[in-house]
Amino acid sequence: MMRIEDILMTLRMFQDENCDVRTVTLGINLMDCADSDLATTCRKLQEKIRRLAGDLVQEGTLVAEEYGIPIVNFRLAITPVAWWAADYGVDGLVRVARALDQVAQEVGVDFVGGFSARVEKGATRADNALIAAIPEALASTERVCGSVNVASTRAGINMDALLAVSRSILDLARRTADTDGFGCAKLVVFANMPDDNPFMAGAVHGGGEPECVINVGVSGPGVVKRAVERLRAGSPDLNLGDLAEEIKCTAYRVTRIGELIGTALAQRLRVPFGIVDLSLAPTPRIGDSVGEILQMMGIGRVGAAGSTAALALLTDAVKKGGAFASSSVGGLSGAFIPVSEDAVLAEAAARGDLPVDKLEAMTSICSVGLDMVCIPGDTSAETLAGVMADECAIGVMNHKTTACRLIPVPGKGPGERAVFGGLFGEAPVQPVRSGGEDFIRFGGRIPAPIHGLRN
Amino acid sequence: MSDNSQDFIIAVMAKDRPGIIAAITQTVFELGGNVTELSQTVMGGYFTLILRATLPAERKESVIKQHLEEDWPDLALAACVRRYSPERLFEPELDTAAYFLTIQGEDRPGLIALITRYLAERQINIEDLYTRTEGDAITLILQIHPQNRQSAEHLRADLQNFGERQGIAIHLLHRDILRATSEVGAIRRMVRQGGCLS
Repeated sequence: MMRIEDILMTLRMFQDENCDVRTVTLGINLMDCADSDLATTCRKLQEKIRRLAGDLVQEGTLVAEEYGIPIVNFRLAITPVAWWAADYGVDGLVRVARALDQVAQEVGVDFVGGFSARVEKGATRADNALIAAIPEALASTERVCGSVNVASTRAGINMDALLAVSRSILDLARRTADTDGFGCAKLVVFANMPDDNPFMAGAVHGGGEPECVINVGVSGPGVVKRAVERLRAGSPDLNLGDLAEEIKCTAYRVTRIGELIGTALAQRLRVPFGIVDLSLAPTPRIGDSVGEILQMMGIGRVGAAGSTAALALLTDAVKKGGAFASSSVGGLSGAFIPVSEDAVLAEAAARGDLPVDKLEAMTSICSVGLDMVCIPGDTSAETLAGVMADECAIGVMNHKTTACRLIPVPGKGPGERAVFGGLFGEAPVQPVRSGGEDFIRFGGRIPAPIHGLRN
Repeated sequence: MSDNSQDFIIAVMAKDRPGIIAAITQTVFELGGNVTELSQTVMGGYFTLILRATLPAERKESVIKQHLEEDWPDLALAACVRRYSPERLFEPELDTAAYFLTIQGEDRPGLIALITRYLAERQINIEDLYTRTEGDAITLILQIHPQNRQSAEHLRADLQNFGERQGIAIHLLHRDILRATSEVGAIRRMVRQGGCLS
């Protein structure tokens, strides 16, 4: 018999603390679907996705039932479209996006990631076409997500591409103005983009990946919060080392569940298991918030002095627990701070405790970046590019992934609210400082940092 | 042991105190036996033990029992002895996983009988059971093994209704989930060994 306390603790994780497998993402290589004829390409990609992902939801549901673990989302990640749909031009790429949208609906996944390009060192004709196609492609589809990697520690920051992406983001926001620019929630701009991230909107099936692979994203802000809460309630003379240790052990348990589910499903589908990404991914539900963890760690007002240090402790402990739990930890693995999706963060932003500058500082040590941050709809492309360039610089200089999912909310300015609903939540529109436009207009590429030369 | 040996199953109960296991195993040794498996527990100050031992085949159960109960009068042991039979009366199918069934609710007379009857009717074997009461609340944890996948599926489908009807919170946890969160062994090996999803 196992220890009773272990059994009850594991039960609590699912019963009371919102522990779940946030996403099972099937990565599929679509390089062999490219054809000189666009219609043939669309047919081939749909056939391949049907063949490889047709059983994903059914088999995944069986595994979830067998183990009694909820799998919240099933998703697809595909080879970046710009790699294999080179000659179709903007209109052709939009048709590819629609074909993906249709087949995603057929196989029952909620998102398909990979309407993507990597342009950190330079953009090909296909990359430029894809960036130009983003507004129409993402506005006219429901399930297609896109991403553009504009920077890396090895290549620097491609400012021309960044400005072009900024213009596409503003266009996409205008096209989805009736939903407060929600289309932009389906687009991520990366520095040091991972090839195996299972979380949307930035999932792709990148270079060096097998033909088909199962990646799993687990989450558990509620589990971590309650673990810290219990520790504090039971031990009056704690120090931060004790908190870190508790979070690490909790992260271990959550990661193990993800690997178990991923391994079992991969075995059923007869595809390799790739990685488990333990990222504390909040939802607007009470008890499923990264902000609540920070509060439980003693940061009464999220954004107050000490918030960045607390987030650093949290992120590091999560990574350490995950790394010990599994040799297959990958993706982003850390803490997400998506403002609209985390009720406590959104409230702090609305109070003025969490301005974009403070969020930027926090992203220097968490696992992603400026995520689901709403900015004024009249922000210029140059200012938007500047905000993202700052975020990229943090990633490039620190050998880490940073990402931006910024939502310019059409017709709304600072103090107003954008409402997306569901798991995407709502958030205040936050001001961004302009005045650096001339720097952005220089264009070209910010060179790679000296420590990018690691060979 | 020689070919002329036989396995016995021995159960012993006594008021708990130091020296009980030493006494029992000493008796088995003096009767020419060797203990091969042993499990004990203590509840409410009472000790109980079950062991498997290999002894000369000519030993009679009644003699073993007599030695256990009379050689150690201070311990007041109550023993029960059976010859081991390899025939199993319940054998789960190989691809059926083991689970932990947890029940939490208000304690009342007959609750354990109700739950265990419910499992028995579905051909679900209880391999271990633990109960804990705190005030009026009771927690039951049962390690169970359904006979086949079908009975596991029926159990899963019916559990919530059963819990609601009886006013108890009832949950089913796959054993591998608990192993994954409590042990440090490799998950891949665990899934391969489990075979429950093949």
